[in-house]
Amino acid sequence: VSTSLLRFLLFIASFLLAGGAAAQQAERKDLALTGDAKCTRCHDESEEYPVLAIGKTKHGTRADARTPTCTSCHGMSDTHINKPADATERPRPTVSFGRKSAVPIEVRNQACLTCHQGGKRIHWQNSTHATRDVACSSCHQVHAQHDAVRDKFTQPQVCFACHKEQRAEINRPVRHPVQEGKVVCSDCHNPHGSAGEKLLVRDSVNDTCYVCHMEKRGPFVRTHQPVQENCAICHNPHGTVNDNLLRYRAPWLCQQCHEPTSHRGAIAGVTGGAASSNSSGIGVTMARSCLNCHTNIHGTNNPKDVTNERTFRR
Amino acid sequence: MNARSGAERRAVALKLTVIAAALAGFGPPALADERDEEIARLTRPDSQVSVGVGAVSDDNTRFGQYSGMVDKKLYLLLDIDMTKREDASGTWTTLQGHNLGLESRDLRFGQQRQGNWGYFIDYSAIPRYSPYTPITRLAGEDSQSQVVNGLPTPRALQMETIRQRVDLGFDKLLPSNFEMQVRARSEEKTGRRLFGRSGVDFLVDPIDYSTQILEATANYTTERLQLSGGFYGTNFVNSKAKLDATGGTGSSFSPIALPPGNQSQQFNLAGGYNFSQTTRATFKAAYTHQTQDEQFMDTPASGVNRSSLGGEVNTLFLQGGITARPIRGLTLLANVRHEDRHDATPIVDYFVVSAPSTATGENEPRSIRTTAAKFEASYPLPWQIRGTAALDYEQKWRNTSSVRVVSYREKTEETALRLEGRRTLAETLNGSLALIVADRGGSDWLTNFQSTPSGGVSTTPGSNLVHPLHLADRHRNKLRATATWTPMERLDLQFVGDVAKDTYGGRTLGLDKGSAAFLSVDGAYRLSDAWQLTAWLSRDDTKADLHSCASAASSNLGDISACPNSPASPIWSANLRNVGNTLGIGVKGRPTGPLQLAADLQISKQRGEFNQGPMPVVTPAVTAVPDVNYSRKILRLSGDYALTKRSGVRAQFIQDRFHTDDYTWAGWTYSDGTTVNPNSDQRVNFIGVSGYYNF
Repeated sequence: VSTSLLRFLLFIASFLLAGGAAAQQAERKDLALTGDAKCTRCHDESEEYPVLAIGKTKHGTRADARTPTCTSCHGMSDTHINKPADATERPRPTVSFGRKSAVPIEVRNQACLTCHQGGKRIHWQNSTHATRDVACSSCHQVHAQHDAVRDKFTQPQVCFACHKEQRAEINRPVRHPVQEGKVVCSDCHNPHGSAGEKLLVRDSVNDTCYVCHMEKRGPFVRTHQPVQENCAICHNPHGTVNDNLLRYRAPWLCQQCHEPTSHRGAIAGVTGGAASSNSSGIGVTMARSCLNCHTNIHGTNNPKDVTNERTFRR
Repeated sequence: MNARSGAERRAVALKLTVIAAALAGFGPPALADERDEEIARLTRPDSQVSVGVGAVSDDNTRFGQYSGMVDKKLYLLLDIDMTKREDASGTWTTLQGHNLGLESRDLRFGQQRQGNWGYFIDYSAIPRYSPYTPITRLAGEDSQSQVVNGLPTPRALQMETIRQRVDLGFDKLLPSNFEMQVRARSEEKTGRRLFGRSGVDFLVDPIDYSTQILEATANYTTERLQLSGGFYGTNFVNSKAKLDATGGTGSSFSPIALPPGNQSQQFNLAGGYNFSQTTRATFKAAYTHQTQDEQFMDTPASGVNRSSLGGEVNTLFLQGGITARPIRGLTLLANVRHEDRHDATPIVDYFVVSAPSTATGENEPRSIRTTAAKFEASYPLPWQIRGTAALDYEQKWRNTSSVRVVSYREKTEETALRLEGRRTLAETLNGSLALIVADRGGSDWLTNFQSTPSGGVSTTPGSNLVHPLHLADRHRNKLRATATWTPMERLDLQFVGDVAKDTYGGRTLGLDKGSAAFLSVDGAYRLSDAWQLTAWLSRDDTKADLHSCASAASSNLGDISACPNSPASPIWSANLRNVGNTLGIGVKGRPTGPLQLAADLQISKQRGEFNQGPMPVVTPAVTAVPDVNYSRKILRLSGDYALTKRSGVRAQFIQDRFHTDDYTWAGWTYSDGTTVNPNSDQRVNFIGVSGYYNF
């Protein structure tokens, strides 16, 4: 109550000091953006959604002639600025971005694309995000100095607002360091669209993985076909319960492709059977399982086959 | 925008009322000064430095797996986020450092004259501690010459890798709508990783990698046409591309080849063109030349006149797409991409494989051609719903060698139909419902034949019993539902549900069927202007049914009778299942103006099931693999108290508990006597206190 009273008294004081109506007509100064005075006469930092912090952002760099003013994004908003006499409620700005906005998503996004098209956003329009009605403002906080989605420590939480399955996966025991901000969504995905699959930053799954895991690229003297085709055949990059982000643990992962001749069809067990790696029993199950012997599973550059080690064993 | 609480709004409103008074232009000078200062504070970039100390209560391998806080000791907590802008020229200077007192430190410095030029230098370290601790007598674990049982007594080895990366970037805006970007990265990855060899001996993979990446891009952007073209080059060097290991039972497996160095160069051009406000086309073309010519780690057999593979892979990537809104409400999308990965590595008969076998001595270059197309149309329906119909098609062709170890088909084709209804603009209830039906088939399966002594193909069949998971016929049905609901002003709810079922066609062995279900519920409740409560729960359940048999006849044409299917060697099943439940509860608030509090509890539980049967009737009996369980509970409490407008203190408490009953390493001993401690239990407390200063 005291705050309200003080605000009231200060307003009264300002009118008295300014000479009443004459003061109201005095020209107002821009506060954050060039030409923002007609908006900041009403909108300021006391709003539910404060506006002045945009001055702390790249949009607020007035020395850059390309930076916008309020109406560049929100439209001219004539009826919002000058409420029609017959209107019971003040009409909303021409383009509004809040959760309750009725402005079509493509219209909202066009406000951003007017300046931000090209470069890494060339493929936005045919991206899954665009076709699923994701607005730029669904992810970006334009009026904040710290845009959470552009901060690697907070970005995953923005993505998890929709991608719940990935949120669960990065909490599994085997994962990339997403929670630590070391490998984040945008290291692998370009949310603004890409020419390849899954909004990946490179043109294929493998090329994206090779950015950090180039040792798996080869080619090798002995190549493992699915390795060359798609890392995701065996790995789930978002997190699993199996070592090395494997979708299933060996031997069952391997048995989804390999013929059951010799020891390859051995049933897994933790005791009993033969303990060697060559038949049923613990040899094909424990420790690294098949990978105990087939250590170079991504391929080997060994040009020899002295003891039948061509099967990625040397 | 960040929504403000009522208390924050009132505090700021008071200040801005002062501004309002002064803005009229006739206020006292003191008010005008306060006005300028307040506006500057609200529109000038903030900077902050934070320094403190954190204590970890116990040695661990999970809590500090990626931060480096794995030892029971004190750690320096040091962060800086300095952002300065010279308003007259629009020049930004930034210095950002995170976790500077930890192994996982980041430090970035950059300057940018906005709308003109910019550069940055960025250092980042990523440690990774393995959860496993080998107890071993291996000697020379960090070298290329390792000696199994080379030490008199076993000792614990800490398995850690660390990436240290430096990135450089330069941007320049050029006249006539051109822009140039250069990015360069140099990364060193060193450390130890679990390794081994047939025998089964324990070894360490002595990692010593170096990676360089250079990307130079030129962009041209106008309202209608945008082009982006450039160069992307990579270079990978492994300083330890060979491992010699002596001693142990697998001594014939030495030297061992480690990953070879390789290089690539790519030229690419992408573009977009706006034919109108409603029609846009995009494209990309890229050509990549990749090579691998690492010196062989061992002398090839006589007659092989090569000292390296001479690996060469050339990849052409093409993409074209168009989006259009030809009539009001109707949106169309078409997209086609094609990737031709041509493995041009020379084929050489490197060695003689004792026939009959499932391989020859030739290397096996892998060429893959992928063509994928997507067509999508959406149109508004009643009740603010947008209906979408989409067709996805993907064709893959792969080459193969004459003699194969697994069943193979050269071509697969998958067609998926998606029907979806989506509501996005309603005030209280939005969501979507999508049905996806997909079928994968392909060309005829090739019959596997065994090799001849001369390295040719015999007429004796190899094994033909399993269709590999990525090549097999598959029918998939998937239903996906999402909803966001605001039943009252203070409460938001969100639901996501997914159900998918796969049925594999073809042979009796291998994958038979699978399924995946996922459900997630999120809630956020604003208790008051100052307090907010959030909670989420998710459950995932993935299944795959697999069949196989031991010791199948090595020559068969896919007849299941190739399996002995006897009590001692039955056709067996494993009904694999992973179930995960994750719960998160959080509360945060501002009980008084300068004090902020937050609490967050996360409980995550996973269970792996294997459901094997029938087990072979043998002596000693084989014990089926038990279920494995993983549990992690993390409690985070934090507080932030602002001492002054510019400074304050933060405190944080974390309790991290982990437990697993995974059988993998329990009771396992390598032939050289090495055992591995899986560190199955962890209970770590962390307390951190730091002070911060805003400037």
